[in-house]
Amino acid sequence: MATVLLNQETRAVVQGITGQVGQAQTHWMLEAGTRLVAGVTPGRHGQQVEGLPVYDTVAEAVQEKEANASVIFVPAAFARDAAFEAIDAGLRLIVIVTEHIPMRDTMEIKTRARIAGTTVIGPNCPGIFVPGVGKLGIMPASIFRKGSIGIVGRSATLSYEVIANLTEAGLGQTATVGIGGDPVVCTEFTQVLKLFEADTATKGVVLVGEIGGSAEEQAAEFIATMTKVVVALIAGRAVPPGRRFGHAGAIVRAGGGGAQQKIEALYKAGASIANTPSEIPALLKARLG
Amino acid sequence: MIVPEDQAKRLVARCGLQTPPGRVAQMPDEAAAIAHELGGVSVVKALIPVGGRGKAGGVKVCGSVEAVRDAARALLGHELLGHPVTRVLVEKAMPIAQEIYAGVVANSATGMIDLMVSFSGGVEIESTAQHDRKAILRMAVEPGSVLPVHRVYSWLRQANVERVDLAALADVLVKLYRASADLDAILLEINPLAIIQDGSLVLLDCKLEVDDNGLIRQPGLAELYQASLSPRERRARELGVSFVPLDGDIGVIASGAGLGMATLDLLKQKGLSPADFLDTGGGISEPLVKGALELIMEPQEVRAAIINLYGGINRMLEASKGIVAALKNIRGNRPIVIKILGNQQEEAWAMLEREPNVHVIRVVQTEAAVAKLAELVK
Repeated sequence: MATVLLNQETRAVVQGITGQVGQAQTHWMLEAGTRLVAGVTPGRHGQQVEGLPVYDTVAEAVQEKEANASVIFVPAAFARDAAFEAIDAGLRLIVIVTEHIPMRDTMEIKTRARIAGTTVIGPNCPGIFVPGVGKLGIMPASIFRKGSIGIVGRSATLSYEVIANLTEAGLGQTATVGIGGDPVVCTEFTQVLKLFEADTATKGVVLVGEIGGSAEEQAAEFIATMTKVVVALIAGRAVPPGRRFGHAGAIVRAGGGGAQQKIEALYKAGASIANTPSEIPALLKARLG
Repeated sequence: MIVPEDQAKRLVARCGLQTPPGRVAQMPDEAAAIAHELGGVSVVKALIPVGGRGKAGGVKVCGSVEAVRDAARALLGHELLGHPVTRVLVEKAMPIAQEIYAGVVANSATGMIDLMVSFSGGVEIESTAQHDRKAILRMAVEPGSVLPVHRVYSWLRQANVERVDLAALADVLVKLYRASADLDAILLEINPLAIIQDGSLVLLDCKLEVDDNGLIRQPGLAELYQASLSPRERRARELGVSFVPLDGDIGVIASGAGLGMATLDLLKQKGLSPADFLDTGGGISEPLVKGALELIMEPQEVRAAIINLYGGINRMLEASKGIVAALKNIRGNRPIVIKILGNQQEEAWAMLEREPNVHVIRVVQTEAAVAKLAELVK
């Protein structure tokens, strides 16, 4: 059966598998049922991590293990090269978990990915979780149940609270995609919304947005054309303008990025607006019947 | 970070661009001495990290050494646009023939580097841009690509301006483009870029905003940034957390910016006012959480706190140990409401519930934690 981004054909490598975070997260990804085929850390060929062979390069992992996807835990200073390597090796899907990557590097990754036709999720993101298939990234498996709701969000932990509320209310999920909290992300809300719109198993979609930038307004333009029910939550309504709140992306600049204009754009496009994560299940149920 | 004008000019000048001769002064006499060296006619500029300075009286053209001393005295030790003026830049006044606006912007919406030029530069550029979009020429360049001068020159030729050496301007723009890439700039804006009487192009102002994430490879700027922080902001940076002091009385810690902002939204709905915003980021450890809690509880005006943690990457038992360790050093019977979910949550709850003043919320809804807090501080 078709699923969003992750499926039975996904064969992923973990770049930065020998680091503390890479190693721990590899364990959790395997436990969630993800098909990981190898790890990559330059100079560590021949080692094993969590039972997976480690290669020096992504190209080797492609050759030996037919890898077609990657999840990156490489430190910020080296993340651009890691992403370039994965793109150049011909992988189709790359998740960059690493935070604090310089914005210029992200812009270069985004450009190279576009030219190569590779889907890159992130950076500074929790990745993808598809119940029944697995996860690329760091989302905690315990909160998910299989079902018919798709979630796309900028913020990781706020999305977890949304998912936990959905699961508690009996609304399982088809997939959750965390696009990342930086001002430049390689895959935007709209691209993920298109996948949910095309996915037959997805009946309703939750968009978890926040202040800063104009990604939510752009998403609203696509939501206006969607056939599926959309509920949106925007964090940061109480935030004073001009200050940066954790996410490099969450900053309200003069004349843009404020919560109110995002909420208005989404509402006009036909999305139901939730004030808190706990309001989302009822809003979905009311419209899904 | 916003780089002070003097530093920004020094960095950009290294790329082969011309700036007026001048230096920084911290005392009026020092400013006068610099003006004397420069031959008298000088410009005195308040060094503050915001725009709109010219209109607010922060830039003074002076005809004599004495006038420079007076201008420096009027600025130093005073506030301008909410910022204390502790340094002024004294520069030789340039014989301006024409003012141009030039900017290089990392456009987060498009993912491209935008080159911008207007032949009507000067203090009114923002209103010019609003009223007449065509007054600003824009060109999008792919990030990381080499920008040849001929491409910029061909683009500039569509402007149809007279008496401007477009080849020389294209050369300056390419150098600005390179400087902005080398410096990890989000914004590099020259307004005005002056054509002076001998025809050369001089950067009279230089506004440089550098990506904070880029500081890992900008050692000089990282030092400057560190020095510009308040003691509490510096401690936050050393801990590796994102910290914004606010003016309320409820301390806030959240594991993630979105969850933190949602917590602030809920506090506000209950009529409570946050004293800070602290995002632990993804790397929760015992010392990080200990340091974070001590940091937010330091002001005695903070009468209560809310800690909202979700374990994805993070281990919640570590976080709880950090909270318990911090509580030993925190004075006053101030209530702390803790919602902590994820790996090892049961062990974390059991440990925290033994602490006086701690109220553990075991449900997934942040509203429950905020409601508990509201009840405790009423």
